[in-house]
Amino acid sequence: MIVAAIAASHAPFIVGAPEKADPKQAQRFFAGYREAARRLGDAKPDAILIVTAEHFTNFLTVVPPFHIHLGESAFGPVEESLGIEQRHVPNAPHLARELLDAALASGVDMAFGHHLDLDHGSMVPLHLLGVAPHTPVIPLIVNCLIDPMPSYLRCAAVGRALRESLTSMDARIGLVAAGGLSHWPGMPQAGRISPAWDRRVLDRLADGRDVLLDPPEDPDMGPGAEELRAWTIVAEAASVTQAEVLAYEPIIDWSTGCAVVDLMPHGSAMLP
Amino acid sequence: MSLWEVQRFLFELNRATGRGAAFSQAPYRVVAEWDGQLTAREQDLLAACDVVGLYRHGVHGVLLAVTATALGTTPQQVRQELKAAYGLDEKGQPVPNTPVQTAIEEE
Repeated sequence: MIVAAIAASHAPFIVGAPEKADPKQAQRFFAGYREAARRLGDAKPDAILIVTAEHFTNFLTVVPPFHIHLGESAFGPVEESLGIEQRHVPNAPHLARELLDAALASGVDMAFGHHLDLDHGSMVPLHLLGVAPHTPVIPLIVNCLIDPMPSYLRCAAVGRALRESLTSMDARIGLVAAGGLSHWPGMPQAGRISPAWDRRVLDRLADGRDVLLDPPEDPDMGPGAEELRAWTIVAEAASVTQAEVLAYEPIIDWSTGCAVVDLMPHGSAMLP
Repeated sequence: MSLWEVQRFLFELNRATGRGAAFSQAPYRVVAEWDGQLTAREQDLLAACDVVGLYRHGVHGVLLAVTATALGTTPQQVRQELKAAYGLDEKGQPVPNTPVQTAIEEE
Protein backbone atom coordinates (compact mmCIF):
# COMPACT_ATOMS: atom_id res chain seq x y z
CA MET A 1 0.00 0.00 0.00
CA ILE A 2 1.01 3.57 -0.50
CA VAL A 3 1.40 5.21 2.88
CA ALA A 4 2.88 8.60 1.97
CA ALA A 5 3.81 10.67 -1.05
CA ILE A 6 6.21 13.57 -0.87
CA ALA A 7 7.50 15.81 -3.67
CA ALA A 8 10.59 17.92 -3.05
CA SER A 9 13.40 19.81 -4.70
CA HIS A 10 16.81 18.18 -4.86
CA ALA A 11 19.24 20.95 -5.88
CA PRO A 12 22.79 20.10 -4.79
CA PHE A 13 23.33 23.46 -3.11
CA ILE A 14 20.61 22.60 -0.58
CA VAL A 15 23.02 20.34 1.27
CA GLY A 16 26.28 21.24 -0.46
CA ALA A 17 26.20 24.96 0.30
CA PRO A 18 23.34 25.67 2.70
CA GLU A 19 25.14 28.74 4.00
CA LYS A 20 24.78 30.45 0.63
CA ALA A 21 21.04 30.96 1.08
CA ASP A 22 19.29 33.72 2.95
CA PRO A 23 19.09 32.23 6.47
CA LYS A 24 15.38 32.94 6.89
CA GLN A 25 14.54 31.37 3.56
CA ALA A 26 16.70 28.36 4.32
CA GLN A 27 15.14 28.01 7.75
CA ARG A 28 11.62 27.97 6.32
CA PHE A 29 12.58 25.54 3.58
CA PHE A 30 14.33 23.12 5.93
CA ALA A 31 11.34 23.32 8.28
CA GLY A 32 9.21 22.09 5.40
CA TYR A 33 11.59 19.21 4.76
CA ARG A 34 11.56 18.34 8.48
CA GLU A 35 7.78 18.24 8.49
CA ALA A 36 7.81 16.02 5.42
CA ALA A 37 10.36 13.77 7.12
CA ARG A 38 8.14 13.55 10.18
CA ARG A 39 5.10 12.60 8.12
CA LEU A 40 7.04 10.08 6.08
CA GLY A 41 8.49 8.57 9.26
CA ASP A 42 5.08 8.43 10.94
CA ALA A 43 3.77 6.49 7.94
CA LYS A 44 6.31 3.75 8.77
CA PRO A 45 7.20 2.78 5.22
CA ASP A 46 8.80 -0.61 4.63
CA ALA A 47 10.37 0.76 1.47
CA ILE A 48 10.66 3.97 -0.51
CA LEU A 49 10.02 4.35 -4.22
CA ILE A 50 11.91 7.44 -5.33
CA VAL A 51 11.13 8.86 -8.76
CA THR A 52 13.77 11.28 -9.89
CA ALA A 53 15.98 12.62 -12.63
CA GLU A 54 19.62 11.74 -12.94
CA HIS A 55 22.40 13.96 -14.22
CA PHE A 56 24.71 12.07 -16.59
CA THR A 57 25.62 9.76 -13.71
CA ASN A 58 24.49 6.61 -15.49
CA PHE A 59 23.01 7.43 -18.84
CA LEU A 60 24.31 9.04 -22.01
CA THR A 61 25.07 6.33 -24.53
CA VAL A 62 21.62 4.92 -23.89
CA VAL A 63 18.95 7.16 -22.40
CA PRO A 64 15.84 5.34 -21.21
CA PRO A 65 12.72 7.45 -20.71
CA PHE A 66 11.97 5.38 -17.62
CA HIS A 67 14.33 3.06 -15.80
CA ILE A 68 13.80 1.00 -12.67
CA HIS A 69 16.68 -0.44 -10.71
CA LEU A 70 16.56 -4.15 -9.90
CA GLY A 71 19.98 -4.53 -8.25
CA GLU A 72 20.53 -5.31 -4.59
CA SER A 73 21.72 -1.78 -3.88
CA ALA A 74 22.77 1.47 -5.51
CA PHE A 75 25.82 3.54 -4.61
CA GLY A 76 25.59 7.21 -3.81
CA PRO A 77 25.95 10.04 -3.77
CA VAL A 78 28.60 10.14 -6.45
CA GLU A 79 29.27 13.79 -5.59
CA GLU A 80 31.53 13.97 -2.54
CA SER A 81 30.93 17.72 -2.43
CA LEU A 82 27.41 17.16 -1.08
CA GLY A 83 28.81 16.16 2.29
CA ILE A 84 26.39 13.24 2.47
CA GLU A 85 28.01 9.97 3.51
CA GLN A 86 28.59 7.77 0.49
CA ARG A 87 27.03 4.35 0.93
CA HIS A 88 25.35 1.46 -0.77
CA VAL A 89 21.65 2.22 -0.50
CA PRO A 90 19.73 -1.06 -0.22
CA ASN A 91 17.06 -1.75 -2.81
CA ALA A 92 14.00 -3.96 -2.60
CA PRO A 93 14.58 -5.93 -5.81
CA HIS A 94 11.52 -8.14 -5.42
CA LEU A 95 9.24 -5.12 -5.07
CA ALA A 96 11.03 -3.38 -7.92
CA ARG A 97 10.43 -6.42 -10.09
CA GLU A 98 6.73 -6.38 -9.17
CA LEU A 99 6.53 -2.78 -10.27
CA LEU A 100 8.37 -3.52 -13.48
CA ASP A 101 6.05 -6.43 -14.25
CA ALA A 102 3.03 -4.24 -13.56
CA ALA A 103 4.35 -1.58 -15.90
CA LEU A 104 5.03 -4.08 -18.66
CA ALA A 105 1.60 -5.65 -18.22
CA SER A 106 0.07 -2.20 -18.62
CA GLY A 107 1.91 -1.51 -21.86
CA VAL A 108 4.66 0.64 -20.39
CA ASP A 109 7.95 -0.76 -21.66
CA MET A 110 10.10 0.42 -18.81
CA ALA A 111 13.84 -0.15 -18.95
CA PHE A 112 15.56 -1.92 -16.11
CA GLY A 113 19.07 -2.57 -14.91
CA HIS A 114 21.16 -4.11 -12.17
CA HIS A 115 23.75 -1.41 -11.63
CA LEU A 116 22.93 2.17 -10.74
CA ASP A 117 24.75 5.04 -9.12
CA LEU A 118 22.81 7.73 -7.32
CA ASP A 119 23.53 11.44 -7.53
CA HIS A 120 22.06 14.43 -5.75
CA GLY A 121 18.78 13.84 -7.53
CA SER A 122 18.10 10.93 -5.18
CA MET A 123 20.43 11.47 -2.27
CA VAL A 124 19.48 15.01 -1.28
CA PRO A 125 15.82 14.14 -0.63
CA LEU A 126 16.64 10.78 0.95
CA HIS A 127 19.04 12.57 3.30
CA LEU A 128 16.71 15.42 4.19
CA LEU A 129 13.71 13.14 4.58
CA GLY A 130 15.65 11.14 7.12
CA VAL A 131 15.31 7.84 5.30
CA ALA A 132 17.18 5.37 7.48
CA PRO A 133 20.22 3.65 5.94
CA HIS A 134 18.60 0.23 6.29
CA THR A 135 15.33 1.25 4.61
CA PRO A 136 15.15 -0.17 1.09
CA VAL A 137 14.91 2.42 -1.66
CA ILE A 138 13.70 1.58 -5.17
CA PRO A 139 15.06 4.15 -7.64
CA LEU A 140 12.94 4.91 -10.70
CA ILE A 141 14.74 7.28 -13.05
CA VAL A 142 12.80 9.42 -15.50
CA ASN A 143 14.64 11.29 -18.21
CA CYS A 144 14.14 14.97 -17.45
CA LEU A 145 17.50 16.09 -18.82
CA ILE A 146 18.18 15.05 -22.39
CA ASP A 147 15.94 15.80 -25.36
CA PRO A 148 13.71 14.18 -26.37
CA MET A 149 11.97 13.54 -23.06
CA PRO A 150 8.82 11.54 -22.38
CA SER A 151 5.58 13.51 -22.48
CA TYR A 152 3.77 14.38 -19.29
CA LEU A 153 0.87 12.25 -20.45
CA ARG A 154 3.21 9.30 -20.77
CA CYS A 155 4.57 9.99 -17.29
CA ALA A 156 1.01 9.92 -16.02
CA ALA A 157 0.51 6.57 -17.73
CA VAL A 158 3.57 5.25 -15.91
CA GLY A 159 2.12 6.42 -12.62
CA ARG A 160 -1.19 4.73 -13.36
CA ALA A 161 0.60 1.56 -14.42
CA LEU A 162 2.30 1.40 -11.04
CA ARG A 163 -0.75 2.36 -9.00
CA GLU A 164 -2.52 -1.00 -8.74
CA SER A 165 0.67 -2.84 -7.93
CA LEU A 166 1.64 -0.30 -5.28
CA THR A 167 -1.78 -0.21 -3.66
CA SER A 168 -2.12 -3.99 -3.57
CA MET A 169 1.31 -4.64 -2.08
CA ASP A 170 1.42 -5.83 1.51
CA ALA A 171 4.52 -3.72 1.98
CA ARG A 172 4.04 -0.14 3.09
CA ILE A 173 5.50 2.08 0.37
CA GLY A 174 6.47 5.70 0.73
CA LEU A 175 6.65 7.60 -2.55
CA VAL A 176 9.10 10.41 -3.16
CA ALA A 177 9.15 12.61 -6.25
CA ALA A 178 12.38 14.57 -6.50
CA GLY A 179 13.24 17.62 -8.56
CA GLY A 180 12.06 21.04 -9.69
CA LEU A 181 10.83 23.65 -9.51
CA SER A 182 12.11 26.43 -11.81
CA HIS A 183 15.87 26.46 -12.38
CA TRP A 184 18.56 26.53 -15.08
CA PRO A 185 21.03 23.81 -14.12
CA GLY A 186 24.47 24.05 -15.69
CA MET A 187 23.56 27.01 -17.86
CA PRO A 188 24.76 30.61 -17.90
CA GLN A 189 21.29 31.59 -16.75
CA ALA A 190 21.74 29.60 -13.51
CA GLY A 191 20.25 31.61 -10.69
CA ARG A 192 17.26 32.70 -12.73
CA ILE A 193 14.06 31.32 -11.26
CA SER A 194 10.39 32.03 -11.76
CA PRO A 195 8.51 32.34 -8.47
CA ALA A 196 5.35 33.20 -10.41
CA TRP A 197 5.49 29.94 -12.35
CA ASP A 198 6.41 27.94 -9.27
CA ARG A 199 3.47 29.36 -7.33
CA ARG A 200 1.10 28.80 -10.23
CA VAL A 201 2.03 25.13 -10.26
CA LEU A 202 1.83 24.77 -6.48
CA ASP A 203 -1.47 26.63 -6.21
CA ARG A 204 -3.06 24.42 -8.83
CA LEU A 205 -1.56 21.31 -7.28
CA ALA A 206 -3.38 22.09 -4.07
CA ASP A 207 -6.60 21.35 -5.98
CA GLY A 208 -5.46 18.18 -7.67
CA ARG A 209 -2.93 16.68 -10.04
CA ASP A 210 -4.27 17.95 -13.36
CA VAL A 211 -1.58 20.64 -13.50
CA LEU A 212 1.03 17.89 -13.70
CA LEU A 213 -0.49 16.52 -16.90
CA ASP A 214 0.10 19.75 -18.78
CA PRO A 215 2.21 22.18 -16.77
CA PRO A 216 1.99 25.85 -17.72
CA GLU A 217 4.79 27.43 -19.72
CA ASP A 218 6.94 30.34 -18.62
CA PRO A 219 10.08 31.74 -20.26
CA ASP A 220 11.85 31.90 -16.93
CA MET A 221 11.01 28.44 -15.60
CA GLY A 222 14.14 26.97 -17.16
CA PRO A 223 14.93 23.41 -18.21
CA GLY A 224 15.13 22.31 -14.58
CA ALA A 225 11.37 22.57 -14.48
CA GLU A 226 11.29 19.49 -16.71
CA GLU A 227 11.89 17.52 -13.52
CA LEU A 228 8.22 17.98 -12.76
CA ARG A 229 7.83 14.71 -14.66
CA ALA A 230 8.86 12.91 -11.48
CA TRP A 231 6.02 14.64 -9.66
CA THR A 232 3.59 13.60 -12.40
CA ILE A 233 4.45 9.93 -12.02
CA VAL A 234 4.10 9.95 -8.25
CA ALA A 235 0.93 12.05 -8.26
CA GLU A 236 -0.73 9.65 -10.69
CA ALA A 237 0.48 6.61 -8.78
CA ALA A 238 -0.99 8.03 -5.59
CA SER A 239 -4.19 9.35 -7.23
CA VAL A 240 -3.51 12.73 -5.70
CA THR A 241 -6.63 14.83 -5.31
CA GLN A 242 -5.10 17.59 -3.25
CA ALA A 243 -1.72 18.51 -1.95
CA GLU A 244 -0.31 20.53 0.89
CA VAL A 245 2.64 22.79 0.25
CA LEU A 246 4.89 22.44 3.28
CA ALA A 247 7.43 24.95 2.05
CA TYR A 248 8.16 27.09 -0.95
CA GLU A 249 11.08 29.46 -1.20
CA PRO A 250 12.55 30.97 -4.35
CA ILE A 251 16.18 30.67 -3.28
CA ILE A 252 18.35 32.43 -5.82
CA ASP A 253 21.59 31.45 -4.12
CA TRP A 254 20.64 27.81 -4.52
CA SER A 255 19.59 28.63 -8.08
CA THR A 256 16.24 26.93 -7.59
CA GLY A 257 12.61 27.49 -6.77
CA CYS A 258 12.63 25.16 -3.77
CA ALA A 259 9.48 23.32 -2.68
CA VAL A 260 8.42 20.54 -0.36
CA VAL A 261 4.92 19.19 -0.90
CA ASP A 262 2.86 16.51 0.80
CA LEU A 263 0.93 14.92 -2.04
CA MET A 264 -1.18 12.81 0.34
CA PRO A 265 -1.87 15.05 3.32
CA HIS A 266 -4.78 12.86 4.39
CA GLY A 267 -2.93 9.59 4.08
CA SER A 268 -3.81 6.44 2.22
CA ALA A 269 -7.55 6.81 2.88
CA MET A 270 -7.69 8.78 -0.36
CA LEU A 271 -6.81 5.76 -2.46
CA PRO A 272 -7.64 4.73 -5.08
CA MET B 1 27.54 13.10 -34.53
CA SER B 2 30.75 14.71 -33.47
CA LEU B 3 29.02 16.62 -30.67
CA TRP B 4 27.82 13.30 -29.36
CA GLU B 5 31.41 12.04 -29.34
CA VAL B 6 32.51 15.09 -27.39
CA GLN B 7 29.81 14.45 -24.83
CA ARG B 8 30.68 10.76 -24.69
CA PHE B 9 34.30 11.69 -24.01
CA LEU B 10 33.23 13.87 -21.07
CA PHE B 11 30.78 11.27 -19.78
CA GLU B 12 33.43 8.54 -19.83
CA LEU B 13 36.06 10.87 -18.41
CA ASN B 14 33.81 11.45 -15.45
CA ARG B 15 33.04 7.78 -14.93
CA ALA B 16 36.34 6.05 -15.62
CA THR B 17 38.50 5.68 -12.56
CA GLY B 18 41.94 7.03 -13.30
CA ARG B 19 41.15 8.66 -16.60
CA GLY B 20 40.59 12.00 -14.93
CA ALA B 21 44.04 11.81 -13.36
CA ALA B 22 45.58 10.88 -16.68
CA PHE B 23 43.77 13.77 -18.32
CA SER B 24 45.11 16.22 -15.77
CA GLN B 25 48.64 14.98 -16.47
CA ALA B 26 48.49 14.87 -20.24
CA PRO B 27 45.20 16.18 -21.63
CA TYR B 28 46.23 16.25 -25.29
CA ARG B 29 47.46 12.67 -25.16
CA VAL B 30 44.26 11.41 -23.51
CA VAL B 31 42.15 13.26 -26.06
CA ALA B 32 44.28 11.97 -28.94
CA GLU B 33 43.92 8.40 -27.70
CA TRP B 34 40.13 8.62 -27.51
CA ASP B 35 38.49 5.91 -29.61
CA GLY B 36 35.81 8.17 -31.02
CA GLN B 37 36.08 10.57 -33.91
CA LEU B 38 36.76 14.12 -32.81
CA THR B 39 37.64 17.04 -35.02
CA ALA B 40 40.85 18.94 -34.37
CA ARG B 41 38.77 21.81 -33.01
CA GLU B 42 36.96 19.50 -30.61
CA GLN B 43 40.23 17.98 -29.46
CA ASP B 44 41.55 21.45 -28.73
CA LEU B 45 38.41 22.46 -26.82
CA LEU B 46 38.62 19.35 -24.66
CA ALA B 47 42.35 19.38 -24.03
CA ALA B 48 42.32 23.09 -23.21
CA CYS B 49 39.32 22.57 -20.94
CA ASP B 50 37.59 25.40 -22.79
CA VAL B 51 34.21 25.09 -21.10
CA VAL B 52 32.78 28.14 -22.82
CA GLY B 53 33.84 26.80 -26.20
CA LEU B 54 32.42 23.39 -25.36
CA TYR B 55 29.15 24.92 -24.24
CA ARG B 56 28.89 26.93 -27.44
CA HIS B 57 29.64 23.76 -29.35
CA GLY B 58 26.47 22.34 -27.84
CA VAL B 59 27.71 20.33 -24.88
CA HIS B 60 25.04 20.08 -22.20
CA GLY B 61 25.76 22.45 -19.32
CA VAL B 62 24.96 19.84 -16.70
CA LEU B 63 27.47 17.48 -18.29
CA LEU B 64 30.10 20.21 -18.06
CA ALA B 65 29.25 20.78 -14.42
CA VAL B 66 29.41 17.13 -13.41
CA THR B 67 32.64 16.60 -15.36
CA ALA B 68 34.32 19.72 -13.99
CA THR B 69 36.44 17.91 -11.42
CA ALA B 70 37.67 15.36 -13.92
CA LEU B 71 38.57 18.24 -16.24
CA GLY B 72 40.68 19.76 -13.50
CA THR B 73 38.33 22.59 -12.61
CA THR B 74 35.26 22.95 -10.39
CA PRO B 75 31.54 23.28 -11.02
CA GLN B 76 31.73 26.76 -9.52
CA GLN B 77 34.50 27.76 -11.93
CA VAL B 78 32.55 26.38 -14.88
CA ARG B 79 29.54 28.37 -13.75
CA GLN B 80 31.56 31.57 -13.41
CA GLU B 81 33.20 31.15 -16.81
CA LEU B 82 29.86 30.62 -18.52
CA LYS B 83 28.29 33.57 -16.76
CA ALA B 84 31.20 35.82 -17.64
CA ALA B 85 31.10 34.76 -21.27
CA TYR B 86 27.41 35.47 -21.56
CA GLY B 87 27.41 38.58 -19.37
CA LEU B 88 24.99 37.19 -16.80
CA ASP B 89 25.08 37.69 -13.06
CA GLU B 90 24.40 35.27 -10.21
CA LYS B 91 20.68 35.77 -10.71
CA GLY B 92 21.00 34.88 -14.37
CA GLN B 93 20.29 38.45 -15.36
CA PRO B 94 22.34 40.60 -17.79
CA VAL B 95 25.14 42.52 -16.16
CA PRO B 96 24.71 46.19 -17.13
CA ASN B 97 27.51 47.88 -19.05
CA THR B 98 29.51 44.70 -19.38
CA PRO B 99 30.91 43.63 -22.73
CA VAL B 100 29.31 40.35 -23.65
CA GLN B 101 31.27 38.02 -25.87
CA THR B 102 28.15 36.51 -27.36
CA ALA B 103 24.60 37.51 -26.71
CA ILE B 104 22.81 34.44 -25.45
CA GLU B 105 19.77 35.21 -27.54
CA GLU B 106 21.85 34.82 -30.70
CA GLU B 107 22.58 31.17 -30.01
